[in-house]
Amino acid sequence: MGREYAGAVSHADVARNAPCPCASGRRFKACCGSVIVEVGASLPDEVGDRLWRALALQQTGRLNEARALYEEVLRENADVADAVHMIGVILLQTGHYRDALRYLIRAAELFDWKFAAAQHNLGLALAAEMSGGMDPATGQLWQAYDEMLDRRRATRRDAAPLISVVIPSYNHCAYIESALESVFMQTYPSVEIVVVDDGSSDESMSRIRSTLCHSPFPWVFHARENVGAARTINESVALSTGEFVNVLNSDDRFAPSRLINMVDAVTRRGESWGFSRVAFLDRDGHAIGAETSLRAADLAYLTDNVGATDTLSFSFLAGNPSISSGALFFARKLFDRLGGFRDFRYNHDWDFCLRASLLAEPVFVASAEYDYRLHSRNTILESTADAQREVDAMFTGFLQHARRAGDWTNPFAPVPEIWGDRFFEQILASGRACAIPPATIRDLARRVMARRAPEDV
Amino acid sequence: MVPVDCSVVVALNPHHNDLALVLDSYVRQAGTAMSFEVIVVDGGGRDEADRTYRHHRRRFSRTPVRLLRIDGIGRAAANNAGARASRSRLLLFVGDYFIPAPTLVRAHVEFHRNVLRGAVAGIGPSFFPDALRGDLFRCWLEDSGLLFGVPFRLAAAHWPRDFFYAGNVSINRATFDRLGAFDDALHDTGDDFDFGLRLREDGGCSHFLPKAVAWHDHALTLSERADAVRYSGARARRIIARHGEIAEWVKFIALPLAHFATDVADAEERHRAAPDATTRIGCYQSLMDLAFAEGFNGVGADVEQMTASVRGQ
Repeated sequence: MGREYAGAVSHADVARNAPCPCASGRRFKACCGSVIVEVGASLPDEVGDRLWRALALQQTGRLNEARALYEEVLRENADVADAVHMIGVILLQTGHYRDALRYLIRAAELFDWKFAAAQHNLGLALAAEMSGGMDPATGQLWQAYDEMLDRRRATRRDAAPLISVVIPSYNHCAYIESALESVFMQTYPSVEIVVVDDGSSDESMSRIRSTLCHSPFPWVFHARENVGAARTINESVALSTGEFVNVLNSDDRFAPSRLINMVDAVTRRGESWGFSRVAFLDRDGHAIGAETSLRAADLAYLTDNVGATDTLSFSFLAGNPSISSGALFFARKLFDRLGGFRDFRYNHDWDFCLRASLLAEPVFVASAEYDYRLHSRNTILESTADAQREVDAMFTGFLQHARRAGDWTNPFAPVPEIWGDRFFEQILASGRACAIPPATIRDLARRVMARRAPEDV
Repeated sequence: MVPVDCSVVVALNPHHNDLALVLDSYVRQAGTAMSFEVIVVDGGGRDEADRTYRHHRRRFSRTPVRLLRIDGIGRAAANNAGARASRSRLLLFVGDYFIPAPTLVRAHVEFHRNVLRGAVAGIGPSFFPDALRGDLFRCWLEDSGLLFGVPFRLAAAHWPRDFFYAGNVSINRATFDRLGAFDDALHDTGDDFDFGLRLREDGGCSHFLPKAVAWHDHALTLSERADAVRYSGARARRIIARHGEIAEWVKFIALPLAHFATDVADAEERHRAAPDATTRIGCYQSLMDLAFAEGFNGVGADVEQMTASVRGQ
């Protein structure tokens, strides 16, 4: 919420079917007006008109006038969910979290918990009321986590396991040679390469064969019809024999120090998985800095944030800071326990990390050990809506999993049994209220509202 | 000098909070595998600083805290002096009325271990403790974000990447020096805002560090805040002159003063008609707007004559 129009909007401009004043090119009802959902369905036109007018006022920052109009609607019919919802949003916008919570929980009930925007806003109000420092239990967990990091840094074991580099190849003939050569240049000696071509229709296969002839490491190459990235990675891992595995996507590259540094940070510390920062390349292989690419800047920001969250595992609740499956480095045992990557088109790596975080705390390698190529054919760019639906499904499944007691082995796993309300606070603040059952949200809200309200003294 | 992982700089302002409590809390920071120092810079505004520090040293002989005394300087110059005296590549500026939670310093250090780019600041929140938050005015001031510029309770949900304040912020020293440190000329208001704009112009950004909690130990009153806002209004012209782009953000202050006075009267009328928390907050808001506009227009705000306690709030 809180979206602002470019300029002042008169009431006449905001008829439902008029072009949206925000200049999106869509109709108002399908754009900034889409938060009003009851009009045309169950409300009289006259009420609907007042709601649209109120929304226009709200979206131009005239919050007091907007609230007065919503309240006018509610005086005639106290069950108009849109009006209740929008007053809650105004209260949230102005920092009245407790009052916002009261309105938004009622709005969610009136919408029968079927309007995602209302639940999202309710989640934000609830997270705001829940936050505000640290309770003693959370403080102890934070300190225990830091102590674990200290112990980890002090640990060093002699280990030089075989690392399997698995390469799912798909229509990247322009990049596959560069990808393979980046493995050949690894300074770590104990490596095997497994390439599975996922039904490429370009010259990938011939280039893979000719390049592998120069490999200093043992290799396996398999080709078959297209089945998708997640299944291809799983098949590649099944063909490999290494104790640890690193995926390399066929349009990306390893830094020469990647495997030695991942072994040093993960394996030699007795840990089972981790990920490194990524550097960004354009399609010609030139480095892209955060200062020249908005997308690179956003992704770099996401990765920088890993040190800001409660734990590394918590960072996966807000996004996928590993950026690519190729940035991951994991033990085969962990992979087997997880049953490999699940068949998500856009987020199989994020889903893998979320599930892995229940079993073991990851390690982050701050140096950029993976070159991620940004180009127009990155799968994640295909459909934002589809990707979002996939994220919603992924989180719903994750939360069901996280709430099952004893299903995890990471002592800092992001689960309610360890973190209590702090876990829900983070989920809600991440905008994922829809993944939490209404009964849980009601219970959290009831407990928050039971606290003493501030007094005017 | 042996380098340390982090230098905390605490510039003393003429506040009335418990300085001993602030100093003692740095002894209780968690993280044995981390080294840090605390440089408290007294610009001459706290008579009790020497005595409190000596008492602190007697109780904690191995305290990481040391005191620098430089008379007659404001917050910006005091923070800069602390930065110059530091022996770390990481600077952490913390307000003198903030009681750091045991995890504060470690949270900043850990964040910067994972960040490679220089122009990145880590920002910790400050919250009124429950005892102070029980007051509606302070609660509103904190939750509306008007106190420091962002509502920290919503920071995990939405963080403005260009936000910067000197209350609880870490940045690597090379970047701090390269950007020219805080501007002494701005004395004690807008110095952090000005630095934040320079950081942004440099392509930098900030991250919210939820574990770097500080407790805001200041029973701020409405009249104190109004004085501080009036003072900020008086100083605003200087900042706008330097960073023209922000004129758009504060264009409302170009309205006639009578407009703000009418708003106050209207808000008070609404509160009389329906005396509840919402209308009371409406009064607070309109009073703050009026105070800022008064300061901006030079009414009731003789900057040089203002009580020292207003500064650096």
